Amino acid sequence: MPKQVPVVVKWGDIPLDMTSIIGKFKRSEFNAFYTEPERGFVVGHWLIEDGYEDYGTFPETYIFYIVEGQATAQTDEGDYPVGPGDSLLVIPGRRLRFVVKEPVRVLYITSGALDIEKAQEIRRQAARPSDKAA
Amino acid sequence: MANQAAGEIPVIEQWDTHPLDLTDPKRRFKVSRWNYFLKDPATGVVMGYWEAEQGQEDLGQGGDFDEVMHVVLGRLYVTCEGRELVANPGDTVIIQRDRPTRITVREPVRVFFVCYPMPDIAGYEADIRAGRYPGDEK
Repeated sequence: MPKQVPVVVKWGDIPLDMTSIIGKFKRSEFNAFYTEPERGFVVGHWLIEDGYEDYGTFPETYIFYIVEGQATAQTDEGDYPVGPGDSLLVIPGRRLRFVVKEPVRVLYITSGALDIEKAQEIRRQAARPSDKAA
Repeated sequence: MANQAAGEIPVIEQWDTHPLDLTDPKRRFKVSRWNYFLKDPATGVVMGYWEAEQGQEDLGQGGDFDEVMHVVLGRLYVTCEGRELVANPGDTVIIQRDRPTRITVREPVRVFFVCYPMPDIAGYEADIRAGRYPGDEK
């Protein structure tokens, strides 16, 4: 049975039940409240703190809409500060390091993600305390 | 404006990076203007910022694409499946293409939005710029 897609989503409505497995963060918790596997389209909330993730080699496009906190996008052309209300555009082939220090809340959108349901399950498993301890 | 080449896509998009240069051909709002700051024909994803005052729009009527709206300022009143919900700043509204959803604006709002998957981005935008509502007879 397909999951019911919510009409209005507030921060905190849906548990942040996944964690990063590539990004190097002290804290990285996110959810996916809308997933369309056919085209690898995902919308969710992401809470991150202290760390970074490198982009540019993935086939996906990411948009990080910054809800709260300050971060930096480091590119070959220079550093770009991003803050609340800004959108960070991460496109395939453009090298970029997303660096956060203070806690940052992000509305993220991913498109073109391959095998997204499997990728999400891996990240859910990584977030489970029992799996982390194993 | 056609679909963007990768080199034209900025790293950071802020509210005023691009003008809100599109308007509603149907004039359903007292004010309704927006932009498309990202147009990706490969995945059919379009993103933009929208500013509106008093009015309403019926979405989810079986069109081509879904829409995600994130409220930046003001409130959206969202009627779906017989219930009215209020989306405040920081809340996100999901409009599925086949789930009738009425969006009502009663006070000035600012919204970050994503449309997906838009099959003919350039054609859709060209219709709006020509004052036609996409899908209406030309």
